[in-house]
Amino acid sequence: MTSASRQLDEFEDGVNLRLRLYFAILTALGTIVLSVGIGRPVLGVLGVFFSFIGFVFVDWLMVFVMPTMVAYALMIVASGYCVLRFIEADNDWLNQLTTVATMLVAIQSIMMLQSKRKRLFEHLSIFAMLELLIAAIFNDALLYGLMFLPMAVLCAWGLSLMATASICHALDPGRLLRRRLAAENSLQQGDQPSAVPMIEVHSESSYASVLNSGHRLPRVTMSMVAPAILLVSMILFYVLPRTTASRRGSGIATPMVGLSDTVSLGDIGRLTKNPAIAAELRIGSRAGELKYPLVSSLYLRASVLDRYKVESNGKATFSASSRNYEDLFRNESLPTLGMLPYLNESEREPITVSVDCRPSATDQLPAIAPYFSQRFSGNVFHQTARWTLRRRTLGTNNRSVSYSFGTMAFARGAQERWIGIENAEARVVEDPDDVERTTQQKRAAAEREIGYDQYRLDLTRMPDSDLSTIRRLAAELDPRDAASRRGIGSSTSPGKANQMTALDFASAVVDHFDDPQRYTYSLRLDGAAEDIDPIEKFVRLDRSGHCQHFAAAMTMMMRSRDVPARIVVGYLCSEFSGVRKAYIVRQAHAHAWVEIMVTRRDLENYRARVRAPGFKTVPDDPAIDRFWVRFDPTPPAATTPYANDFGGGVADAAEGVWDRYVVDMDGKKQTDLLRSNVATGALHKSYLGALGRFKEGILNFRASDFGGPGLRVKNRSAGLILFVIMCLGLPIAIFTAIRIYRRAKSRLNSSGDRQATMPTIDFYKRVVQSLQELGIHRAPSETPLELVAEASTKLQHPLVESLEQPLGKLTKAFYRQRFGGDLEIDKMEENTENRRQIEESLKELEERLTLIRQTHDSDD
Amino acid sequence: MILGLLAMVGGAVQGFNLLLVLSSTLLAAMIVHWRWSGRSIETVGVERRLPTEVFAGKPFRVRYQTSNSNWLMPAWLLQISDVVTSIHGKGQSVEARCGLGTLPAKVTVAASVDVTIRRRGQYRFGPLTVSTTFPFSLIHAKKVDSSTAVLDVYPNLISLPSGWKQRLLSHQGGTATAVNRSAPSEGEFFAMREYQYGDNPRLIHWRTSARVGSPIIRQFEQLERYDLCLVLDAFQHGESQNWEGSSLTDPTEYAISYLTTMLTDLIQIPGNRIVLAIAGSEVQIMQTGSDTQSFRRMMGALAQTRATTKPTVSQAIDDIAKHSRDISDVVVVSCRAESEAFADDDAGLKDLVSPWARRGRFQWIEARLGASVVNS
Repeated sequence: MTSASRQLDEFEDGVNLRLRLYFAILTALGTIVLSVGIGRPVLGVLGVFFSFIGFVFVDWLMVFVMPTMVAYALMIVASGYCVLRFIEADNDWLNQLTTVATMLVAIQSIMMLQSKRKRLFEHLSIFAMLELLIAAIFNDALLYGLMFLPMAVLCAWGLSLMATASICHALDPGRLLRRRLAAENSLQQGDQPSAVPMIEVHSESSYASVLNSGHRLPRVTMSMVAPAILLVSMILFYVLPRTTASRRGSGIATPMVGLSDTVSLGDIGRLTKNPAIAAELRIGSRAGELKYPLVSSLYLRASVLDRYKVESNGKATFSASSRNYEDLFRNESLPTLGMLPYLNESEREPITVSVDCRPSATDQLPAIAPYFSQRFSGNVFHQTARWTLRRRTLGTNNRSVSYSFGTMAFARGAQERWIGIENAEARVVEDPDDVERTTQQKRAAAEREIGYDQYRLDLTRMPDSDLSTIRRLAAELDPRDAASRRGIGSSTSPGKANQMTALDFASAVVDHFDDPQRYTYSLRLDGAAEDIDPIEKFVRLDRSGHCQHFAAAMTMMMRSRDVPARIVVGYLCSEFSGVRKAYIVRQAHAHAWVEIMVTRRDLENYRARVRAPGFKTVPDDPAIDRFWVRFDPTPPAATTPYANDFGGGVADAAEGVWDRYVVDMDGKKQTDLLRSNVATGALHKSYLGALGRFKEGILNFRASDFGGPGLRVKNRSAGLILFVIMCLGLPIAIFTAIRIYRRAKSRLNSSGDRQATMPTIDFYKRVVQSLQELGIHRAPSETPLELVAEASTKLQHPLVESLEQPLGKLTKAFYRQRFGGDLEIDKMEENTENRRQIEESLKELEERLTLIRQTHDSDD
Repeated sequence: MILGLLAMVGGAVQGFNLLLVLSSTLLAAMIVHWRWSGRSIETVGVERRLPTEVFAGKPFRVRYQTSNSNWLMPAWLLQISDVVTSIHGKGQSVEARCGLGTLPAKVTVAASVDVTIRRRGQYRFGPLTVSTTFPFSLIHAKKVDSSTAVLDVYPNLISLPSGWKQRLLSHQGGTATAVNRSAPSEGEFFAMREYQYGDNPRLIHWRTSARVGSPIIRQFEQLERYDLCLVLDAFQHGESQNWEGSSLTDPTEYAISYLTTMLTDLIQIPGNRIVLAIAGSEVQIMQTGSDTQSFRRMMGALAQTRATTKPTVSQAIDDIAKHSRDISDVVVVSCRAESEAFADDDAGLKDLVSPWARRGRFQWIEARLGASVVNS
């Protein structure tokens, strides 16, 4: 085999190795995205392991190759096993899909251990696509998007290289050469002459041309083809008509959680370990889109729990029950502002809250009460008496939902603590012309009030379990009780004892829990004990718990003193994203607090004596005769909210863009996009807005400003991050600059003083190399005969015979082979006579060149 | 494609946007691939360039002038396939493939295939297909040019026994004629001498004349001049199914190659007059001319000669006697012995050749692989 053929073989090996590398990485990424999607990390590990083993030991080092029959047998075994598991899974489609995923990874792993051919590469790419397909159903995380991009790029590179390899395979001169040599050998051995092909074709130059282009194809694909694909795919994605709402995967790996009407003690604690984003809130004035400057954290209510139950295994559960109060708890449309006359706009600040809520496991949605409907409130229900929102279309919690509402819950940037309860009887307007109707209204209002009274009584009901410590503490803390007044301390003067209200009692309880000497906040809790109520256990033994324990204990304390109390679960949020101009509500922000029902008289009494925050704008409307008042017994130091400030929220922003413009794209957004004028369309504005926010976020990041106006915090880690980026980026930049410089230099040199390419015929290559050693370089435009003349002239020496003769012979031989039309170089070299002459001339030339070199050295 | 469509339907019906992302990307890749490869092929033109003279067993290069008429877009990974079929054989065909890695816009590049055809005859090239699978090897775009070209593959050239020329009868010209030749190509350079009156001024070597100070002319050695008729006795033992399927081990093929080699060598010397008579199933007589067309005509006839058990040698000799009376020598190249030919021939071949034989100007060359016998 000639050196040219060897070079081509090496070149081809390089292309093939790159091809195998691309598909190995593609396989690994495919299994990772699948394993993340279905929540089976072991599958990802398996896929990555076999991809690595397959590439290193099978493709690269070629230590072993799994025989095809063995591979088929293993695939049959794996498939059989998975089919059995599939049947066993019965109608559990999640398990069935997981089984399918396992089968994909298993077969892919087996294929990685086989010798790779075009067909196998095609199979690997199809398997990677199937993995993406399944992952698309399971996974809607940003990770999918992040993995999809490199996988698409690798797939494109791999397929383009495969195009090269398949053409090279068709043009393979090595294969033809081997076939021809084999035929000639058989002919020499006296076989039938038919062994020699009658027509023989090969094209080594084409092979080299294709192979050479193959190296550049990945770059061409990325620079020319990829933008076209991106454009077309975007058009397809956004133009394809959608008849259904966007839907998310089941999210096995990233559990979608939410707050439901039944919450066990400890659920909130588990929830607070999940940093996943639950919702985004954009708060602005009703006039415009300005961000509302908050000065305190936001309490977002999701569910109201009024029943407490301890099971036999010691598990305590709070639930919302509307069984007996159908008049009170109804699902209605959001009230209009006119239905809430007590919300006085002159004192309170009407603001608009827009919520983008991610998929969750429940139908409950976060809200800020009291709220009223807006023009685009969305597809949500208002649950009366609870002041919570829930999805109007039940069972769609695997889809995101966007809604908005107006609220007057804020006064001077702080969220008020009360929700007014309207006396239904007081609102009945007597109509003298329609007495019957008035009577009906009065009867309905009276029934409603009776229901409220009943509900109020239920909220004072204590469980049957032993809560002696709770009762004792409540008695000690209740300032209304003369016996316990001494326990409260000197803060309450005896003269005002008769003015003490339930609000004072609640404040005392909050103060009680706020003492770090007595209680500690912790998420590491022991399991439930069967012989003691968990709440009793919390206050008597553990004295350590999270918000749910504090809220539960306070609720029971209030109830034990006949104060109607209930637990509200929701989110306590203060994380503001400067990039997205929104409050980020995470699962980690889940929180529980207490609402007690008090009368107007108690509230006014309390306000007159205590300047507590949250009661700035209590209405004068006498129809509002009761209030729900919020108390948060969890120590404030323990409720420091989770905040993700990494990268100034850029990652969150990317996730938001991904969710909003890809995952949650539905028919409505699509219609907006298609119908709206490009320059003025809402979605267009939205895109521009997102871009602007992103840019602003980057600017904030550069300025180390990670907070919003409410929570403006200078993050010192920004400098560190920048330092790390610089440390990583600087060497890369220097390395790239050096590479570019070297490339430019070599191009400059090659354009200035160019030399002819090295000949491919071996003996003449030796001649040219020997002459180069003595400083004779052949220019591209110089013919071999001119080279003879030049060398003979320049290297002539009086003591050495002229080079003309051997050089001339070799040049003639070169001409014969190169231009004589005889392409059977190997065969010709086997011709003894020719070979002898060439060898003799070469020897002669090298002897003379050696003499010349020696004489030059001695002259020096 | 099917996978992409299924994913798209599933994504649209179920509202899984990630499925739509995947399917959109897949379909976009297919659409871009389809248009890209299709457009590349539409703008690519290929023209086949066959060599004019091809001898069996000698490699030759077929060039494909490939041009890209697109103003902007280069064409990538072009594969050119040409079908080479033996016209008279048993339909044996081979696909000649070559390729181009890149063909820039508005550029013409030649791709080439090195072909070796081991047996003489006529071969058809075509149809010609140019295709590409760029960029993803998922779609095969191609354009077929159904036009074909026929190439005569001349018989093999073999190594003749040394001194074969001397054994042929010839006329030796005088040295005086050598200097009067009109062109230096009419002989091999011999020496230089001073100019004499009557010498052709075109033979003056001006550089040497300038150096020595007087006119010097080049002197050429006079060449041997042949005036003969080569007769091919296309005889074969028994009927052959595949007349061109035989290799050099076949006696008839060897004889044809023998004659072809002689003819090729003799025809290169200007002044020789060679008449070729092919005695196959019918007689073909051709004479060399001043152009290369006559040579190609002769070679074409030899390429298509079909051997027979009853060659028309006597008729060929008779035709030569009638139409080329002035031919001085007759040389028959055959795979059989002279006596065998005379014995087999019923038309009095021996008598027909007697006018040349009597003058010693008739030769019967029994061409055999390894050793040839010349009978005079």
